[in-house]
Order: sequence, then C-alpha cells, then structure tokens
Amino acid sequence: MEQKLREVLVAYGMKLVEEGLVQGTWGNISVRLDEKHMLVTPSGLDYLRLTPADMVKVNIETLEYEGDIKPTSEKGLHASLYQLRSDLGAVIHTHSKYCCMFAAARKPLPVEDPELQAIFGAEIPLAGYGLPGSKRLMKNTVDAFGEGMGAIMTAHGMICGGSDIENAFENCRKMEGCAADFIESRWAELE
Amino acid sequence: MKNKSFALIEKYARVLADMEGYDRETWKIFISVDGRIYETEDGADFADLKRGDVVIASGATGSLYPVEHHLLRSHKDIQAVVLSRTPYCKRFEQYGKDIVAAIDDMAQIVGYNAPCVGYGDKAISRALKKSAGCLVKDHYTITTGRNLYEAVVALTVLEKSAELNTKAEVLGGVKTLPKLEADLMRQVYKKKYSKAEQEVKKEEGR
Repeated sequence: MEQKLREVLVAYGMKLVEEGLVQGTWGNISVRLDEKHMLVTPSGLDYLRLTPADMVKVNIETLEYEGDIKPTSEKGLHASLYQLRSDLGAVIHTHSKYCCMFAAARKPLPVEDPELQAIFGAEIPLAGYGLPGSKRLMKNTVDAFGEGMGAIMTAHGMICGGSDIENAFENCRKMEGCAADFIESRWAELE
Repeated sequence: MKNKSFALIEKYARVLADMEGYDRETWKIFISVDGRIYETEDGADFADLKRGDVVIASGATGSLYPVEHHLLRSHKDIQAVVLSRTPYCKRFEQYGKDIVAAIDDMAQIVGYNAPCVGYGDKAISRALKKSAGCLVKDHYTITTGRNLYEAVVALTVLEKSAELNTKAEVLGGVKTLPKLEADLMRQVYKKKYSKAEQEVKKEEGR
C-alpha cells in the first residue's frame, strides 16, 4: 500500500504541474498513510524529477521522518490538518495564480457557484499571515481551514484537502477555477 | 562552443519559447562560462535553436548589448541573463512602474521589488544589486541568476507577480509585503538554496 501511495503522489505531482497549479519546486502534497503517518513530498525538489523513493514518511504526531530525504518545510501544516480532521486523506498546498490574487489582496474567496458552495461553503476563508514554514503560518492556516475544505493563505498561496488524493486534486482545481472565474469576469468589465 | 553550453541554452530557450508573449526579436539569453559570454543571436528561434544561433560574444570588438555584458562581468551573483517582454511585465515597464512583492515567492526568488529604470549601465546595475529582475522602460525585462535555471524561474515568478498585482485591482489591489521582511526572506532563500537549485548548480555550473 505504501509503495502504491508513493507512486500516486508522484503522478499527482506531475498532474499539478501539467494543470499549471504548481511551478518548479513550489507547493507540496501529502496523503495519509495510516493513523500515525503521512507521506509528503520532499523539500525543494522539482515535481518533474520526483520518484516514489523521494516521498517522505512522516509521523503525524511527532513530525519525525524516515530516511535521509528532508520532508517539505510545511510538514507541520499537513500533519496538523490530519490531526484535526480524521476525514482528510490528502492535502495539497499550491501557489496557483488566481488563488494567489486573493492571497496578495488578503481577501477570502467568495464562492458563487452553488455546486462549489456544496463543497466549500459560501466563502473560502483567509488565513492570517505567517512567514513560510513558520508555526504562525501553520496555526493561522489550520484555524482558518476549520471544518471546511480549503483556505487562502495570506501573501502565500492556497491549501485544500480531500478524502483521498483524487478528491483533493479535484478540490484544488475547483478552488483555482472558482478564483479564476471571479477575477476574470470582473477584470473583463474593468478593462 | 562546448556541447554542454549549447545544450543548456537550448533547454531553457525551449522553456522560454512556450511562455506567453515570446517573440524572436526581443528575447535573448546570455550566459557566462569560464570567462566567456555566450549569447543567442538577435531573432533566433527559441523553439528550434540551432548551433549557429548561439555565439561567443567578443569583448574586443564591442557588443550590441554592453549593459548585459557589464552585468555578467561585474556581478559575481550574475552568471545568466534573460531579456524578455512578457505581457504583464510589459505593462509595468511601459507605465514606468516597479513591481513590488505582495506574495512571498516573489520576495524570495526575485526580491522586494523589480524596479523600473531607464536604459543604462549604472541604473540597471543598481537595480539588480538586490533584485533578480528589473524592468527597463520601453525596452524589456531583465532577469538574472547564478545559473540559467534561476534566471528563467525569476522571470516566471515576476510575470506571475505582475499579473496578480494588475488583476487584483478587482479586489481593491494587493497589499505589499513589508520591505524588511521581504529582504529577510530573500536572504534566507539565497543562503538555503533549495535542493533543486543545488542540483541544477551541480549539473549546469555557475
């Protein structure tokens, strides 16, 4: 099972690049392995170069990891979400363009499509600011995420979850699509 | 020209050719290898670069790009330069406006801002002291790096910042990061140097 999940993480890393949701080494993804562990992408490695062996097994409670490869610096954020929410099987964090517009403007993302409201609610919350990899960023993001399925991270990017990696990936696409529709429809009027 | 240097330029030329706004007339690549400056010929097709499209620029006979050559010869952290004119950076450059970081990836990879300056040695050199990119009014965008990978990534991040700083107007505009914090993020990033970049540095040299 672990090997299969490692392969799935590699495949979804590539899908995120193909969809333009991440670039280069930015963003990170994880899947819940069992009650105590998650598999996360490593720190600072290009998604197109990743192999199943590069994925890091991390203890959700202690953040201790197996092997020589360092996990993403946002491992604490992923772990906190798994601790908080037993229904989450996968978490994706990206710096995707349209969600970043809300992050840069420091605004929550209004959800206008009723179908998306069923997943995210009427508004995707804005998490308070924290430096990349900091405890403050982790705490603010976990607080904003709450019982929802995603959050905009001030001056940073977005994060979303799902029951499994396929569901998290779909939610990630939907969040970016929701942000894109909101911005482009209004931008067309402004221009 | 060494195979390795051509392969490196060809690889990133293809990446640049796929970017929005790519045009053969403006976009250029310069790299410095062992004291020699390689540059793409004016009008070279980045999507199908040929060996003859990359030349060793001779300092003795002068260059059509003295500013870029000066950067490569005088800044130890600049071993690669990309000239481009992507759609949103172009807007800022034409208006004469700086692009200021509102997102931490720009602060880390490019710096607190990408200043817009007039064409000239001193202004550009000063602008690129703290930033990996600047806008040259009515000319182009310059991005730089310790290798070509860094210069191309800086352009990608800068164009994203230019677009989000523009379109976030519909949300009331962006809130820029405090300069001190952005400078700190840049310093930490440069020191830590991500694994991917270390790998590229090892493979492709400085």
